[in-house]
Amino acid sequence: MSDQNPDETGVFPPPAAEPSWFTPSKRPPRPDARVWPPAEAEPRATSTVPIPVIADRPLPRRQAWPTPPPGAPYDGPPYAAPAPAPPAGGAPFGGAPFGGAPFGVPAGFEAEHAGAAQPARRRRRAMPKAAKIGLQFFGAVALAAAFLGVRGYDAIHRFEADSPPAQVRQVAKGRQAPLGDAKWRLEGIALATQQSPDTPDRVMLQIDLEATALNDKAKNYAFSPPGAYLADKSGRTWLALVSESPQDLKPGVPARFTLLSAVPKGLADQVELVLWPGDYQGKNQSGPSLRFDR
Amino acid sequence: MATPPGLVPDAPPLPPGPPEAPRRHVPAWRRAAGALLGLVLAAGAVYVQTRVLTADQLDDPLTVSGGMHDELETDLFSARLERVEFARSVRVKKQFSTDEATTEHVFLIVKMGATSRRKPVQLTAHLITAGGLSFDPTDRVDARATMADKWVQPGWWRSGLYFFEIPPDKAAGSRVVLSEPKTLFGDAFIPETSSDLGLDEAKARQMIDAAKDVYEVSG
Repeated sequence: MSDQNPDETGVFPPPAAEPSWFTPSKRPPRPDARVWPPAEAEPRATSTVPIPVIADRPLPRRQAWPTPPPGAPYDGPPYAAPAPAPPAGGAPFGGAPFGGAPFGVPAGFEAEHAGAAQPARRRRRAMPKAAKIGLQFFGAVALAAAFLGVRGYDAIHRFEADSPPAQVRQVAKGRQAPLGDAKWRLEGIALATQQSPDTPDRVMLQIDLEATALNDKAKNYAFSPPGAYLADKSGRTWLALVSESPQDLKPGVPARFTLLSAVPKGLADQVELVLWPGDYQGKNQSGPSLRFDR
Repeated sequence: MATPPGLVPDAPPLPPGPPEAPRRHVPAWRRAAGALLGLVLAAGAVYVQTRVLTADQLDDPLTVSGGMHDELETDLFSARLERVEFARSVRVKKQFSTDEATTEHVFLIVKMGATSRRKPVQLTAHLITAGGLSFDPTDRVDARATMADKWVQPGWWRSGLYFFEIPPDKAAGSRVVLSEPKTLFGDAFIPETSSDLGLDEAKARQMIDAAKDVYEVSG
């Protein structure tokens, strides 16, 4: 299509002397053909498929199914029939298919079960109503308990996966213990030099902690110190904040942290240092930790 | 489709079932009572469904409520409301500078005292008005001057301020709620305390009219 000639398709037509396959040409008219009603079926004699002769002789009598005596409960094998006498002649589609027994039922099957269907089924005695209701009630209670139990177990399992329980390792006085990327030793807990006069009910404690790096990653402790808490016997904890941290931690070289913590006055000589590898673990109190004896 | 006779047999007539027991005669009033009982049970089942807690309600914190100066004890911390004030602006005096926070509304200043049970906690607050609006503490005032930045530890009480910036007409009937900040993977059932500020319409209006122009804190 162009501006000058909107009918132009951009395809050059073939020269008139050489008509090509896409040049439309007139179709020759087709002769009429009968489509409906369809043509007669082929005469039987022309078929190449052998068609069994059925109508040429009388149909075999259909097997009669046994009718159970009225009133008997319907039980036992369905549609069990006595084996019919094989029709004489053995025509391909004449008699019962697949031999004597009908439809895959083994020949001996009816004989075995024919007797079983006959005597009256053993009727179970009805359950007493109280027992039935009690059984239903206890079933409901047991199922509800099982459901709640499974849900609770799932919740506990997930909670423990999210925040593993604390594994506290007690460290004897003056001993060293590894935690995270360093070995830690408590040098001592003493009263801090500065005490606030406004808060007579609590004292400030200074904690000296020695860290010996185990690997290169321990240098992170210089700017993100481990989570340190002072804990008393009943499980209450108080923050211990780093006031001085070493410039660098080199493997094998001891370095010193100084922590400050405020605790109630009466507990100043009882509290123990609890150390967690990080701030987050300390806050959640989960995972491995050290507790230093004093 | 026509099948050759003898290939697929017709199903035989089903044998008659067990003889039906003679129907017991049930009096009409028992039928009516049974129908009524069924209706009542169905209605009860439908009613109970309306009481099912939504997912949000299931996650709700465990709230302890009280008024001014009430000591509200939770499993994690105890808190009490100590003072309520209003101010037009807040001046935060720092070591080397002074920050001034101004508002076109009004600052509601709540002094809370808190102590912890077992471990150090930091407590956040939010204000819930009578109309159900929730206000976080204002960010015009440095958090270091507020209670949210302070550690609450066991063994002693610690007091601090929370600053809320609210429209003056929303103050009446509001309450302040204190809780540990909720974390994504933390405890789902965190406790909280809800302290009623004890402001009715008249008192709130009177206190806002008497609001200080400048409230000074150090932080």
